[in-house]
Amino acid sequence: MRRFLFPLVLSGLLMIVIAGCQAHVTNLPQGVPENEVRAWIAATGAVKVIADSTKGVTDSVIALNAADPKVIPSDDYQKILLVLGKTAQTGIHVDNVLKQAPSKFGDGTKQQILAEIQPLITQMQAADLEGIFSRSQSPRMQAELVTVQTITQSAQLLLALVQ
Amino acid sequence: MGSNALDILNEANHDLVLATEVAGVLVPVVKGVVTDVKQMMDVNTITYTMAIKTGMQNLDDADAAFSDVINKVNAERAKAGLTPLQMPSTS
Repeated sequence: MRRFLFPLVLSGLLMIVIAGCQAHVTNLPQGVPENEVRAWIAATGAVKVIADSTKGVTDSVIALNAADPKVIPSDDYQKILLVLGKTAQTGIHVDNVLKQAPSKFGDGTKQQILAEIQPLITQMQAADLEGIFSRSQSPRMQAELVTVQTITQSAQLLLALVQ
Repeated sequence: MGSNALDILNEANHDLVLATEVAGVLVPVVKGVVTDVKQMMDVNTITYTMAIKTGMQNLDDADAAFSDVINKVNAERAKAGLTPLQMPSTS
């Protein structure tokens, strides 16, 4: 079961996006393009994955630090939390853009999301978030690396949708 | 995704599970409701109303998770004497 589930669950992220991209949308109001609805729902799926992953890493890192403050160096701890907090701020901004234009994914919406998501990706890379987790001697920190990578990959997916 | 795969997903309490294997242990990364996705995969069509409902639910869930993150980050920053991050307003 576990052996079978492993490759299956790894496709979960793609499943959300593909479902949004490939499903045909019926009963469209007049003047609403189907491709924009599909792109919009795919974007909401990517944002949800970013949100769930960001919350997961935040909870784990705080719990790990509470259990043993020596596991994560203080500077790294605050750097991690700052990037996660900035990710959440950006996520809410993107949420607001998508909520204001449900089913519409035109150039205006794309430009607003691009203006939010591109600086976030740059900031995550500059902070070397993945490096902090991968270099840690703590197995629990290393176990969180995949979730951090999920945040980055989902942000890249969102970027690809608006470019 | 065939129906067998979706049946397996349904065993996980109707959650869509994104996970990876670390040192032989399956570590869940993301859980999400699979029912709407399953419907889309099975039928390969979705009504406009369902599409909007699913998307808005994604965004509401994301808002709640992001707000939780900012609150927890700010609690930790407060312990370190750092200024809090601004909580953006949600629409």
